[in-house]
Amino acid sequence: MKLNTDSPPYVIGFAAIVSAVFTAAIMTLHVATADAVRRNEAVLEDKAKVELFDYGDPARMTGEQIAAIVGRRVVELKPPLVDPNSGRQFRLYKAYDTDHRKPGARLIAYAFPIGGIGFWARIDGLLAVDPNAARIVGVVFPSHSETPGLGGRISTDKDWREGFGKVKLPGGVRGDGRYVFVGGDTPPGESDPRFGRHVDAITGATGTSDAVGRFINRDLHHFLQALRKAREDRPNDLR
Amino acid sequence: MAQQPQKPVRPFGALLQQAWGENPVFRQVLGICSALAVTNLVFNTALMCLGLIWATTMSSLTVSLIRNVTPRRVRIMVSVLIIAVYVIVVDICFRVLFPEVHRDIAAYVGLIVTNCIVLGRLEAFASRNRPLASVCDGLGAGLGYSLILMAVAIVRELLGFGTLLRGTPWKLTLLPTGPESWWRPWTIMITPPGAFFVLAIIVWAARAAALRRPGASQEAAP
Repeated sequence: MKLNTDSPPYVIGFAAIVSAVFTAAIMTLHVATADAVRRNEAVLEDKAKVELFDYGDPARMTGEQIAAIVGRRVVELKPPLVDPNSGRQFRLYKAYDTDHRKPGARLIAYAFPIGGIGFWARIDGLLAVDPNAARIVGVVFPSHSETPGLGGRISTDKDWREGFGKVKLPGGVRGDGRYVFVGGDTPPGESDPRFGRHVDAITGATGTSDAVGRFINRDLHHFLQALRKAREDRPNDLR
Repeated sequence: MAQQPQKPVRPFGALLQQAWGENPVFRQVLGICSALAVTNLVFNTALMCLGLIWATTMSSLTVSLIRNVTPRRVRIMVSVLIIAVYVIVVDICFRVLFPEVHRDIAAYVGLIVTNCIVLGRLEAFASRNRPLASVCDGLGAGLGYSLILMAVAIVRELLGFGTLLRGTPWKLTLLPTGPESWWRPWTIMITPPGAFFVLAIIVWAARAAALRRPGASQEAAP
């Protein structure tokens, strides 16, 4: 008997079976690899911390070495910081120059998660400030879906990210409501309000650059308020 | 109704035809988006190429196997579903095995689903030919794409960074890049405009080489 592949019941049945079979295969693979994916994400975050706090070149370290360095030198503050105005919580990572359990360990930076919608999808990163919150120490973006070769350079272009390390943080938000200016002309001198707070945009990725500037300013604003409050309420936790 | 089978195609001939004679990049000008975007590092490019070779080969095999029972009116939907499944498999494998490369090229791995090369081969060949010939055709299209992308990537990484396989334990530094060195990296090569120049030169050279074949002037004309 010849199969009538054009009959509506056949078309519907065929589409349903094909969809069910392939979807089941993908779901099985997804579940089977979920643990490995979670482990990889943790390694990526640890690598980002090694790079952010300048503990060495993560590309030359094994996963075990990276985990050991981060385990010894980086401490997550618990409970997290809370911005009293917005109620937003921040995970805070305290970074030390050596094993934090050693008596002479010196605090070198605080880091906290930043993130927002980029050009295509969500960008997640970590921003570090010095212990006085007087300047940005660095920024990394371990997770994003920006265009490879364009906006994707937020994770691969170290020279661009190092531009944030020169940004000084004023005592409070200035009238313009920004801590960092990403893109635009380079400020000609100190009379320019952007002086000391300017970072070049990524060439050809204005959307990504604008997005990064936008969520860094927003998150930094909330974080500094949360840090100020924590300094009043539990200063010992921040050492 | 299923398509009538055409005259039998020699599998190896189909592979060579796609890999060179009808190369998807320099003859059909397909897959240019990813050819421009992911080719600033050789390793990333190699993984992208493997992903596309896998997707074209396996999709061609699957579509060919079910070609006689696939309703004509939903064949495109089924083809896209099949491509998507194999691309998701690639995506998951990269996420597990090469998480950092996945972060850098994930956007383009996902876009293999809509790559004209893959859907084009399914529609033009696999949906009307036998499995072995279809596998060879898909493999040839993937290899043809990879041939050009790897050539572009080698030139771009070498001139842009002075290295090959940067970001891997097998990195080769072939040109000095220090501040005192005689060589200055060509920054333009690691940005998208550099890809336009290199791709154009390689396409020009490949088409010129194709034209040198006896009796090729007619078929190689744009």
